[in-house]
Amino acid sequence: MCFLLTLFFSVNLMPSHGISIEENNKDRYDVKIEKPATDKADGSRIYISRKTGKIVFREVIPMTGHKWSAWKTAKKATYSKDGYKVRYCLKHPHVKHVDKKVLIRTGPKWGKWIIDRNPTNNKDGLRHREDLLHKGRREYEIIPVINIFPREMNILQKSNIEKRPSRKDIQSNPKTDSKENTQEASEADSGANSAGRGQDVTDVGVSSNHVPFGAADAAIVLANGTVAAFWWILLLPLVKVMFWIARKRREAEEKSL
Amino acid sequence: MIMRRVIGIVILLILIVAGAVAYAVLYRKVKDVESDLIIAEKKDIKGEK
Repeated sequence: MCFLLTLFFSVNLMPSHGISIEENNKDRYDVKIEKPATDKADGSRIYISRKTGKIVFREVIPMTGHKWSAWKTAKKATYSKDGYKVRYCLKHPHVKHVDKKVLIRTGPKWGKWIIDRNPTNNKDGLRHREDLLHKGRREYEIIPVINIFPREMNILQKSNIEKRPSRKDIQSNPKTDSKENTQEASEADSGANSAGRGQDVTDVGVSSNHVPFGAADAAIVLANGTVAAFWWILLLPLVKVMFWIARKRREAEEKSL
Repeated sequence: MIMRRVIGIVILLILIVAGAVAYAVLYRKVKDVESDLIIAEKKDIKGEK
């Protein structure tokens, strides 16, 4: 009989689901939240025995999750400033869970220019830049042809001629001077060329010295014509009179003879 | 100022000066001749009836 009783109690005192009947009495345990549950991850709650001070049970707290409302624009994005939109959790109305998302401004934020094609003397170049905020937005720009003024060309040519070794210089010291002179000449050529190339940024878009026919030119031409017509009208009768007098004098002289 | 306009203005000045000089000279000559003229009646002029 005693054996049966001891067997019965031993079976009932066996831990069920990891907790014994004795341990299941929560009055004897301290309950603590080990890890709070978030909307995306489970949390855990622990039971610490008051007797032993050891953790006897660990309970999983399911993740909270959210049931989001529709996005609502709180601040509209402008050309230069970002806006934002929000949505609220409908699952826990007593707790204010807000999700916020930035609305990128509509204006571009241009990156650096990338040259697609360098300009030459007779062909335009091309470059582009990309919007860093909005993918796929790209701006192209034509780089004008390299334009060197004729006057500057003359200066360059003159400088080349001056720097080039003359025949006399070469003949005076053919062994030593010729190499130096040719080197100088090549340097001068390269310098001139590089100077010419250097014009592409500064002189691009500057036109030549040609000035179109304007209002000032028209005024000068009109003034010239007016003055000529005025003198013609005023002087023509006088000239005619002079011719008449001369003819009369000649006739008088012929008669007297 | 560009050369084209300078030339235009120089021509204008030359026209004004030359015209004034020519006018003065011709005016004086015509005046001298007019002072020598004798006013006569039509019948006194030879060849006229």
